[in-house]
Amino acid sequence: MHGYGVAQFIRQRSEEVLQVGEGSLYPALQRLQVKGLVAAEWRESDTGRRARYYRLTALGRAQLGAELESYQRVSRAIARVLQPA
Amino acid sequence: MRTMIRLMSVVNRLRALVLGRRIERDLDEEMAFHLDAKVRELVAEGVPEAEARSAARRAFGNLTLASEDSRAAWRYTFFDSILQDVRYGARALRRTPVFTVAVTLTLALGIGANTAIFTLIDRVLLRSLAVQEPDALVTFGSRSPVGIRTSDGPPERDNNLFSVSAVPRFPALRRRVLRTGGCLQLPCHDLFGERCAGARAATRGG
Repeated sequence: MHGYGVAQFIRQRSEEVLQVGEGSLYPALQRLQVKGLVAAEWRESDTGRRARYYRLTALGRAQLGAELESYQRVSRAIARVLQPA
Repeated sequence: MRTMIRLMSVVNRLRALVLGRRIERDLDEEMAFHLDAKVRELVAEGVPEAEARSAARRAFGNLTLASEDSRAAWRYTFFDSILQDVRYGARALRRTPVFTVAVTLTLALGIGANTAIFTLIDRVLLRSLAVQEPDALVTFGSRSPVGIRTSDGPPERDNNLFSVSAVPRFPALRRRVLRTGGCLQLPCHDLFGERCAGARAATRGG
């Protein structure tokens, strides 16, 4: 998926709730790339123009698992605290 | 996993050093692609082109900031900013040569004079004491009528100072202090050698 695709995906999937400045996506993608969590390659997009496509590396997938795990733990805890007794 | 990520970061940043400007070109092209894709999407929805263009820029946010932050991800910003500061300093100094020369001379003379004076004091007063073990010397303090301060430690510290009231507890020490009037031979350490014997005699004589 290219950067623009990622921005679109986030906007649509969150039903327009999450609207970060689209530009701030790129520093984040670069940092992920430097850490070796995503890999990038230039490919032709559906409009025929060259675009940079990102995909998760094996390391990135493992890191995603760990992050999701800890996010879900926190979110479950918050849900339990907010639940009426 | 964390060590792996750290290792990858080092490798990728080193690669970035080799790639140089290519990273910046890639970023520019990528962001241009993003903006154009957005414009195309809006135009397809029926927004006039000019309006779509500015809407795309608005949605993107701060373009310069995004590209600077993206570039920074590849660099060791710590060394980069130090290098920048040094360059900036050098430029500022070059712009004001008179000031630079004046400051350099002032610093050179100041440091030089201080070094010379302290070297002199070190040689004359500290190193060439007429004593076998200069390190073990004690000095008589002037804070109270009779006091003894060990030579190490800052002079203001009271814990290095045997005050008058403490001296009577060491009658032998006190006797010696009074008898020699300045030149003291402690019971367990033979502080003063032959050369001091003469000095002691001189003190007693004078």
